[in-house]
Amino acid sequence: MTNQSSSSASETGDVPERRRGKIILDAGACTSCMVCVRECPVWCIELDANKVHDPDAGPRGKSRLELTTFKIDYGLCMDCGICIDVCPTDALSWDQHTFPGQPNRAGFTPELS
Amino acid sequence: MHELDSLTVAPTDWVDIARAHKTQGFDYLDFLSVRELDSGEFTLTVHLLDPTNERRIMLEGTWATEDGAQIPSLSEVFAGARWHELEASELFGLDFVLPNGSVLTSGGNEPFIASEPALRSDYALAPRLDNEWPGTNEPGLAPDHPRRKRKRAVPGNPATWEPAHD
Repeated sequence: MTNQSSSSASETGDVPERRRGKIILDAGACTSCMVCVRECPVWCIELDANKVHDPDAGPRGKSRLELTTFKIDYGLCMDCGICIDVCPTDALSWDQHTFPGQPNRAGFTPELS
Repeated sequence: MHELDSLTVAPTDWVDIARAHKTQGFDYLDFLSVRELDSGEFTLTVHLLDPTNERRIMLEGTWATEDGAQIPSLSEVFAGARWHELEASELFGLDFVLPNGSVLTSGGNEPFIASEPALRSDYALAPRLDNEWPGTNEPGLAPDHPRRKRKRAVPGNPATWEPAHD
C-alpha cells in the first residue's frame, strides 16, 4: 500500500484479495530499467534515478541506479497491467484497492518511490 | 450458435445480400463495425444473428474512399444500422447514402456535419505530439552522455503525424 492522505470506502472496505484495483510499486525491487515506462501504452509512468557508487560491492565497488522518482498517473492509467507483465524484477503488482477520487488533477500522480 | 461463417460481399451487392439474409432468418443485427486496412481501404463488417435457428454470419464489404466512394446504407433493411453507420461516418469519415435523401443525425434533426475522423490512422493524437514521451529518459546518464543524444523512436507515433495545431 502506498501512503495516501485520503481514504475512501474502496480503500478501507472488504474487497477480494486478488481484485485488480490499482498498480503499486515495490521500490526496493525496482532497478530503474525503464521497461515499464517504455511499454506503457498511455505514457502514464514517470521514472528517474541517480547513479550511485557502492564501494562495498566487489573489490572495486559497483555503481547502481537509485530510484529517485516513480510516478504513476492514476488519472491516465487504464489498468491494462502491461507494466506488471513486463517488469523483470516483479517490482510492480496489483493492489486490490482502487485509487481514490481526488479533489484535483495533481492528486492522481502520487510519488511511489 | 456457434459457428461463424464469413461472407465477402461485393460493394454493389451490399444491401441486396443483407436483405437476402434477413429473409433467410438472419433478422437480428448485432453490430456493424469498420476497420481501416493498410491499403487505405475500409472494410465494413456486419454481424447478423438468426436467433430461431441459432445461426450467425459475418458480412464483409470493402470500399476505397479516396475516390469519394459512397457506401450504401443498410438502414432500409435494418433500421438499427443507422446508429452504427453514424458512428462510422463520424469516426472514420465514411460517406453513407441513405434512402429518400435522408441524413444521418447526431441528435436533433440537424444533418450530421463531419468533424475530424478520430479513428483514422492518419489522425494525429495531439497529446502524443505535444508531450514528451517519458521513455526518452535515460536514468543515471550524465546530461552530455552520447546515449542521451540518440533519438529513440516514439512507439505508436507514425512518422506521418503532424501536429494538428501550433
